[in-house]
Amino acid sequence: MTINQAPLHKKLIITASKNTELSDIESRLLHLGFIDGEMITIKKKAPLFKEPLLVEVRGRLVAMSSSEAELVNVEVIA
Amino acid sequence: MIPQIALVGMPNVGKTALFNKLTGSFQKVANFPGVTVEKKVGWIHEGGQKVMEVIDLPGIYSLDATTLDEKVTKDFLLLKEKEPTAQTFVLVLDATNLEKSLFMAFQLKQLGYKLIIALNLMDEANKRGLKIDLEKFSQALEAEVIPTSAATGSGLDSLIQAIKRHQGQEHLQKISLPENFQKIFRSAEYVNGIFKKIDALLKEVTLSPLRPDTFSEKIDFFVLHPIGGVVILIVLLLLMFQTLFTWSSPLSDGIESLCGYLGEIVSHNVSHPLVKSFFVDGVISGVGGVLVFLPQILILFLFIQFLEDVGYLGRAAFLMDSFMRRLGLPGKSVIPLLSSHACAIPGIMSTRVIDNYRERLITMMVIPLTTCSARLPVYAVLIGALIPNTPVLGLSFLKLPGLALFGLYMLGFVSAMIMSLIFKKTLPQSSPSMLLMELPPYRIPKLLNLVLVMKNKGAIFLKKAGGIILLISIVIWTLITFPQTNGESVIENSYAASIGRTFEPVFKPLGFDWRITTALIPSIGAREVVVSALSMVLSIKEGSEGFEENMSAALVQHFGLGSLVALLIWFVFAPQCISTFAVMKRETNGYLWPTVMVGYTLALAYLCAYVARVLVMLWS
Repeated sequence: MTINQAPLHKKLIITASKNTELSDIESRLLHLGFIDGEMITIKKKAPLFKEPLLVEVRGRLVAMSSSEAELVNVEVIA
Repeated sequence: MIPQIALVGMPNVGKTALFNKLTGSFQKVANFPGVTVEKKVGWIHEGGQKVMEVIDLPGIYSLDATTLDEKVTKDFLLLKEKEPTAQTFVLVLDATNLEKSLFMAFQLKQLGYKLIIALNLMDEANKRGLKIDLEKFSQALEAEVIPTSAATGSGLDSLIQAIKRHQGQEHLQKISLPENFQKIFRSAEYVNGIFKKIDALLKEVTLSPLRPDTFSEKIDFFVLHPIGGVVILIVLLLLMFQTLFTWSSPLSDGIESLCGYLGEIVSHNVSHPLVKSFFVDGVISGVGGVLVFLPQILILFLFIQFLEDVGYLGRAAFLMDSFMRRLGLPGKSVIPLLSSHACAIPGIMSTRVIDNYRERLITMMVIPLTTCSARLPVYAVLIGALIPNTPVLGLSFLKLPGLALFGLYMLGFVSAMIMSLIFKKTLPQSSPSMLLMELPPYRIPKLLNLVLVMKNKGAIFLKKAGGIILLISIVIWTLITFPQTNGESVIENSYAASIGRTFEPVFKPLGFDWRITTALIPSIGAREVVVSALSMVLSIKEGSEGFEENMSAALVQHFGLGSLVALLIWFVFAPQCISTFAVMKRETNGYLWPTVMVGYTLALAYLCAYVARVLVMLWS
């Protein structure tokens, strides 16, 4: 599943990310810490349209729209 | 040439705060050549002498740049491959966010940069329990590491000493870029690799880890609450908007009366009527017309910088993003759009909070459609002429004129939304629209930063827009003053009137005769001037008792209902004042977009005014 499909407040682990021909957004995702094996948690979803999402990664909150969240694969671990 | 220092670092690491603390008020803000990215340059003084030049480069996550701001920094850094220079690079790290801010440290080290590292926000990190072995840290990064706090100024002296030692070594920055570096920088393997190094380093040097930021989390519970958060945002924006109005109007009035006073002094001392008029109506009122914007600009940027420094701006964008994006605009555009209801000038200047250039451009293009306060005197006179003061549905507090005014606001707002959707569909996509951003922890803003932002924004406006505004004011004065009849200026015989008469046929479908088209010319300087220009062509003395009522009555008598409704609608869309044009020219770095803006608003104004007049004629 991708981040936008994942449940709130659960520990998620990033899996199987793309390695080649990254878009600008995919590159920015990597630099914000959305890398293979990283643990993240969805903290909040904005009102009204259930997006953007607020995700905790590497000790910081990152705001991302659902189209950006679609680019990252995750698995629920706890 | 004095030695140059460049500050590099990720966004939100306190780089600009450090820059401000280092250079104090000795700084200037310009654009990088050819792009509208802010270039901040400042100087460190010692004993009254400039000893070092400091450049505050835009925040960058990595040399794999994705935004315009990042490209500027990347180009600045990579130029060193071709021409090695004696620059010193100070990499600013956020001690509370080493897990990410160390990325650039490793990347630049790999390429061969000799860095000095300012470990900023160290006081905050210490408070949250972080202890690191600085010696090991410095050895691993092969750079001198100086703990600093831009907030208290601690560590700045050591930083300057370190920079001097670095300069004393006289070595040039020389780097070697691998082949296909663009491809390498943009690969998950490379990025993963650096993050592994960061984790390994932090594991080795951390003596006591950073505690989570529970304070920010507690505030976010309210500020980002699905309902409460939106309520807080709306209340905050309305308060800001209201304060912008109430604080700036006495200041603007003060500037106007000061200009009036200066005008009187000139009047008393200059006897030649033409010279007197040139100074009073041309120069002084032109300068006044420039200065009058300053209070709003300063106050708006005080608010915006406060929200930015406190950490709220990103959160506001988060709350508004999905809603605004459906209208074709990013979340951060709410602030420029709302503040442009006071005045478009600070509104357009504040679009720099929007990172994506295309979205910034769309926001700038639709801002002139929002109802700025300069339209109010025009609306007041025209509504007074057109609409009887009768209650709506028998409600004493709601009267027809109020409803009409609300309708005009809505017309402006709705057309701004429609135009933004049209621009979204038609403007080419240059860089991807991104929300992706880190929300910084809440911090207490520093007065120095707020003061410097106000100073810099004020200076930019005066230097870059003031000249054009003053020049056009004098041109307009010339048009309404000459040629003189019997040594006096009569607007009916002026060049403005000849232009007005020339354009009369064009505006015939709207029901505008030459008197209206003539009055529209000075309104290019400032919209509200149309009222006094109309009073001149109708020979009603401005400032006389019952002026507004007399004007309203005369307007109906001379022009008729259809033309006045058309004029009212005309003012919803056009004309754009020259100040808007001048600021837009500065913010888009050219005449193309301001010309497009004037063109489309004129077309829209003509079309809508025509439709309105036809509707009125059919109805009556």
